[in-house]
Amino acid sequence: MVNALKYLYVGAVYLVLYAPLLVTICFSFNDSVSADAWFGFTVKWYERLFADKSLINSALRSLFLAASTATTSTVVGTIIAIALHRYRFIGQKVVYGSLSVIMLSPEIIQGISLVMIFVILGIPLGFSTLLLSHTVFCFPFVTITVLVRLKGVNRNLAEAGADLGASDVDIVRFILIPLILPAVFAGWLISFTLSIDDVIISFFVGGKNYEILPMKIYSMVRTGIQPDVNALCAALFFATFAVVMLSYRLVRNRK
Amino acid sequence: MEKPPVPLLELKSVTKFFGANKVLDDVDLTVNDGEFLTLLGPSGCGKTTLLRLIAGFERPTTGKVIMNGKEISYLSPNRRAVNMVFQQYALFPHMTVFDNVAFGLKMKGVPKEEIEVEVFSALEKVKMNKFSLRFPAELSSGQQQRVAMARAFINNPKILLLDEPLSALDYRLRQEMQIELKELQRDLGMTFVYVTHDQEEALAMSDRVAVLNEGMIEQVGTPIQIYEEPKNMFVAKFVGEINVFDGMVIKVGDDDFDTIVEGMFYRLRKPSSFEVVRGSKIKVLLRPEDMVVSKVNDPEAEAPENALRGVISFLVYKGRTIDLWIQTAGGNMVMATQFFNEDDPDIIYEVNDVVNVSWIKDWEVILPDA
Amino acid sequence: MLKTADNFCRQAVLYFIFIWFGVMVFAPNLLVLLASFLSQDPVWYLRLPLNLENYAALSDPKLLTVILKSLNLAVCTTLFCLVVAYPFTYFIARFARERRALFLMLIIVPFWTNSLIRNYALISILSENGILNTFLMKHGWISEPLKVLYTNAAVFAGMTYTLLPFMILPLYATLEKLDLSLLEAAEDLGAGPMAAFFRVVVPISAPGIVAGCIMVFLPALTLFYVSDILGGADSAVLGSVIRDQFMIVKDWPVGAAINVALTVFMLFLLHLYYKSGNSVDQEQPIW
Repeated sequence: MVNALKYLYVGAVYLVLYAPLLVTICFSFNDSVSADAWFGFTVKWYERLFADKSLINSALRSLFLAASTATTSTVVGTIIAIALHRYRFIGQKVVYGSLSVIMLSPEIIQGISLVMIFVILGIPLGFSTLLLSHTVFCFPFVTITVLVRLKGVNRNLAEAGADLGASDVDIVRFILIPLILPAVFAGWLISFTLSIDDVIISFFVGGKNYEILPMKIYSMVRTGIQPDVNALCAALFFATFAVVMLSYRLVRNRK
Repeated sequence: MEKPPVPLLELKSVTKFFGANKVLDDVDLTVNDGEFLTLLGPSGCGKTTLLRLIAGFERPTTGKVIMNGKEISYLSPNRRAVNMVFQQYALFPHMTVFDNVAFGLKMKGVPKEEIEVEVFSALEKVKMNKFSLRFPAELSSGQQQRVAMARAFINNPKILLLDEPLSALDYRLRQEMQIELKELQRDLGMTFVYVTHDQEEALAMSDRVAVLNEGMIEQVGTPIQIYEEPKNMFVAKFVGEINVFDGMVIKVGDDDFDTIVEGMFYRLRKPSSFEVVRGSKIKVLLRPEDMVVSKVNDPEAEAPENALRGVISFLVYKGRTIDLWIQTAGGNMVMATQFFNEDDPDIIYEVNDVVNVSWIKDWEVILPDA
Repeated sequence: MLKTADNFCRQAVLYFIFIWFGVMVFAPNLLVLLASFLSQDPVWYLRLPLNLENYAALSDPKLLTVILKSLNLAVCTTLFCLVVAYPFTYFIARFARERRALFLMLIIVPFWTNSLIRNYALISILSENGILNTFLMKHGWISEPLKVLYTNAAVFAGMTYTLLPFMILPLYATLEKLDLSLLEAAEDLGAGPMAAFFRVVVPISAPGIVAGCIMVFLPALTLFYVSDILGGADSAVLGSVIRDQFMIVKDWPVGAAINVALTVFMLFLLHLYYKSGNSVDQEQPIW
């Protein structure tokens, strides 16, 4: 009885978390412009979607940005994690502290400070500013994930490597990186997720030249969103889901 | 037959601080080519730090590490011709046994075909060639230990360092591995520096033992020297069980001296290690197995010369031997190990038996009373 | 001697870290701090002289009303998220190991659809003829549709929905590590299940509670798009004000001043977090 209530509660929370997603997917097949009631199954919104170059393009830009962000923040975050783990240097405490501050900062604080520096330095807003800004708010998550894993790695392993003739670079390449690979992958995934989900930072540093999906939709909200946007979101969701599951499988099998 | 020892590695007045904490205090030690040297001591005595200094994981605060006449104090671990077997083995969990053992050769840039031959020959030596494709997690701790050995000695180091390699194994396996390790060392003709806190292991395997305490070397010598002729109380008490008697010197002769121990008069041979002075206090040390115990049938009779009278307060039966704890008239607790003698019915001891305790003459160790 | 290649590598990595943090983390925030003391300029956005007037603007009664309303909303959102998330996370953290990973993944999956879109989808749930009202009326629980959409209630719903995972994840990090034998020990020592829960589980998960509250509270002040999409005319949050100062009024110094105030407030909360965390586990990552 108690157990049943437990599952009921957990299920209810998941229902709430997934409701908007389900609604989006359902209405992407709904044969009506209004999002109030069900008028029958159709795929016409998907047809319209694939005819709409600007919508598709902004979606592709979002995906490309998320993948690039995930990759750069994984590289940056992992380097910083390994350095924090292996080296002792001045300012190490400050770096540690900054990581949690960045993770906790509301996006608006980061968005505004970054757009100010870009404007002052005369860097045109676009893909590069988006990539840099997204990397700034994503890399601490990679660093923390990798650091936790590094702490679990026996310190003797690096010493064993050195003892067997490996240089620092060899130790990182042959011992540390293979051991932390699952955490690195998890970090990539977190960064991808954060980047895809972001609205506020992109709002400030995006600019008109490189319009990604949330900005495109934001500009459409007041005029009313057509069901082909639902179709796009549903399609994106399934595509992301498939890619993530596939890569998860690949990483698992490699182990 | 005996060749004169050739020094391979020398530590010259090495001192090591961790912060304000002095871990090694002015250590001088020579490791000879081809020997099995054990660093023995309680935990925290600095033996592992000493090993890590030789490996290159630590640098001496002052002093020098010299190998083959060249100073290597500041050479990094990957440039030293020494390899280490770590306490928890530190096998790379993401590599197979083969890749683990091949790692050192790969770092040296040895060609692939050659690596394969070498790895299998090394695995052969530790009887692990059937397991080359397994991962460390799929091996028992004994098997992991063998792989760790092979991974280290395949690089043909001048010195193989072993940091308590048997401590993770159970008692039985540890006994077997002691013999195997010793045989392997003879086979390879390699110099081993072995760290342990287990004195039995140290005595069983080593050519020489260095006993460490609080960062200082107390004594270096063969296992027999360490056990039979301990230089000080620490070594005497740390290595094996020992009975300690207080004595007072009353007369000094040419070769021997007279002393009173537990109210009894003894004439003992003069020790070579220090000058016995009349009126000074000394310690008389005796191993339990050097004690002679005889049952007293008539408690009223006087104890014979050179024997102490006592009562058995408890005994521990150990199969081949029996350990007796005897409370002497002087109030001391004496431990005596007796071997069973099938022909001697007297050997059946019981608690509260009255016994005479003496020792085999000249087997005592005399130390000054600090 | 140290090997030069490894030494070079170390130097390069450290320089990279210093430059990265200096340019991307410290410089922008210092610029905001500096800007908050400068004056507005129609062309260059900022100019001398230095002054404190931007901070004085914070006491503007109109701004204060918005801030107070926004704080009220953020507090409600945080408390509600905590109440909903705590039992949920506690149950999940007690599941079998493999199932736990799956359930955790299921919390992250909705993020792959942009939160703007998910909030937009809430419109069709909350609107007058939306799914919620249809459902409630069908069962006869209400007689006429609730007016939720374009009110503060809808903003509250949107905030709660958007930020719930940010409460769940830090809570999960602490609750997952909770040693069940502690509960057993407490019960063995005579504590009832409720007492054991409130005296053992809750104090141990305190760092997770504080981290979760910070991660919900601050965004709840600033997620302007939620109030844009779901709120009415007077549903602006603090974030909307900051955005307007930058994008519409183009008064960077005042916007920066509000930003600095928010940052100081955040650092204060962070200080509380470390105080709560240090007593239990120093290494506890923030999420």
